[in-house]
Amino acid sequence: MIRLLALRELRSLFSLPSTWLVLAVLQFIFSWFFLEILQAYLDIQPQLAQIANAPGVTATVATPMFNMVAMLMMMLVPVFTMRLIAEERRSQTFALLLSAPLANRHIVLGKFLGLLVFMCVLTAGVPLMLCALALGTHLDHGLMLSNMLGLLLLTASYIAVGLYISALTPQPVIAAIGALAVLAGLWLADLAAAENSAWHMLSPLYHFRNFNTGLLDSADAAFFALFTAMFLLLAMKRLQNNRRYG
Amino acid sequence: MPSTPLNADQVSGQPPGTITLSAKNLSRSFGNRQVIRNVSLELKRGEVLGLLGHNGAGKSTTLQMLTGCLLPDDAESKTGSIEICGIDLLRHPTQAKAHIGYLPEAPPLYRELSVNEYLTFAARLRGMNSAAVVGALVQTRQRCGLESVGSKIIGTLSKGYQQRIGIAQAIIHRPALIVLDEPTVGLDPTQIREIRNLIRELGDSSSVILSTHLLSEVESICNRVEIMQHGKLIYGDTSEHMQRHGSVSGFTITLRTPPLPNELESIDGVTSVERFSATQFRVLHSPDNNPGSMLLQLASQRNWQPEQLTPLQDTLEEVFVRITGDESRNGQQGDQSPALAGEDDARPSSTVPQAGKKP
Repeated sequence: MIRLLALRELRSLFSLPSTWLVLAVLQFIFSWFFLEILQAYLDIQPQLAQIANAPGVTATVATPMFNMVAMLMMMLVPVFTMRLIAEERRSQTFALLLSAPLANRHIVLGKFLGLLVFMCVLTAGVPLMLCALALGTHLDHGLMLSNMLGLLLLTASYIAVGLYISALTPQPVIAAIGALAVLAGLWLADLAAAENSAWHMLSPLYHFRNFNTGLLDSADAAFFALFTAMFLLLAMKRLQNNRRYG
Repeated sequence: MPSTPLNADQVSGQPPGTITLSAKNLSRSFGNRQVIRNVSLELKRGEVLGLLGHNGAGKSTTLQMLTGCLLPDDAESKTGSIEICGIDLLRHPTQAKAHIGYLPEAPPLYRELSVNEYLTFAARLRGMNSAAVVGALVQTRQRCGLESVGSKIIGTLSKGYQQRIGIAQAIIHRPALIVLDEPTVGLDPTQIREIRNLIRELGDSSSVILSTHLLSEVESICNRVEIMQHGKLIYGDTSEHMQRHGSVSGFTITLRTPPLPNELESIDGVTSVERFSATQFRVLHSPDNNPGSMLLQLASQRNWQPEQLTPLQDTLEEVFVRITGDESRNGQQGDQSPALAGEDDARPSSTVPQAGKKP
């Protein structure tokens, strides 16, 4: 059932022209950024060659690239999560799911996984472009994988937040703005807090930073798992309350 | 339309006449406003039940509760219960809902999908396996007149088609209970007739419950009627009984060369005669003694040239207005039985149907 719902979500997304437009525009932005970073790297490469233990191509190109994508996700995810439940309630298609033999967890997980797969497709261009560098040089696969894993966990946590906020309102625009506000708030919590403040711990972007530099910390992974699970559970709870309170 | 019935009976192994829906003491409030009060409904396989009521009477809310989209008040304390084919909807929602097909007020269509994709999704969602879906899809498209639009995108189709797709998604998995919320809204007269035929056909093998404010719909499809007002069921009976509710026995007769009214009054069984026009009379009689044939016999003997004899029969419209009117009056005056209140209402002759026309 979860798979069925996820596939429906994907099918709906890919039959909308706007999705293809977003895919194309994002790919354009990603590649432009990639070329910019690559150019910058080529410019300083002669100087790097003279330093002992200089950072490699993966650290100078892939790390900022993934960091940029992570920042973009904060704005991109709400655009897609707003559709998940709010849009269905507004266009009154949600009754089909509510009257079907499904538990709330099927609905929530189906939508969550559907969008997660879509976001993976959306960002698939980034690691592919970076892998193209392997044609001319040696890549640090560990750093690449750690970045990809971090981005996946970060996206999953953002989708969970967006999904929950989407379940709160039948207005997609409010769902999008709400999700953006929460995600930006979490980012600011990291940005504005003092050096050793506990506020940093709340921010998904803070936990992504370790993945970004190639450091796999189980605490960070656990944070993402808990964060995602909490918002998914809240969304399930919210669906149950929708049935109860109308 | 195929003549072979949906084999819902075989699917769930239940003979006709078994109870498919049993709802007891459902109440529902939104905030402090109670919109449904103590509604109980029972439906057997093979029945088509019409839920009638003004706009805002609580029909849609009731149907939403019956399909599990809304929980009744105090779902935990078990004051109300809903059973679908004997399965408790509140306790085992997943199993119970597999037997329900629901068309809400606005058809729940994913406008960006094609008709085939959408119906396949709807069938799989209700737990049909992919092998069974193929056959069901063909049959359902045929039943709902969607053969020619299978690969079209739903958003590009007309309102009439969309409504039919909505009905198709509710019946594709051959549920035992079909719940339709105003199924003929937005359709043209031909489509309305087709959909009504379809609903009648569905009623042979499943139970259908439909809400409407169109009385003609109830008259033509339903074999039972429940009238809802202010969140309560105020009247429930077969639609034939409802038609006779509070009416009086009598007929109108047209005689080209009429006698004096007292000549008619003297016929055995006639209780009163009222003259509408030079040639038209309304004759009331006692319920167990119909003087119609006697009168016609006399008319031919005395050359009154009888032209038309029409039994007095109310349209459901009038009965509905009378029942809901009674109920509002009762609400104001205390608990008077609605069955007695309308007894002496006068009926205008213009609304008498011509169905009982005799030579």
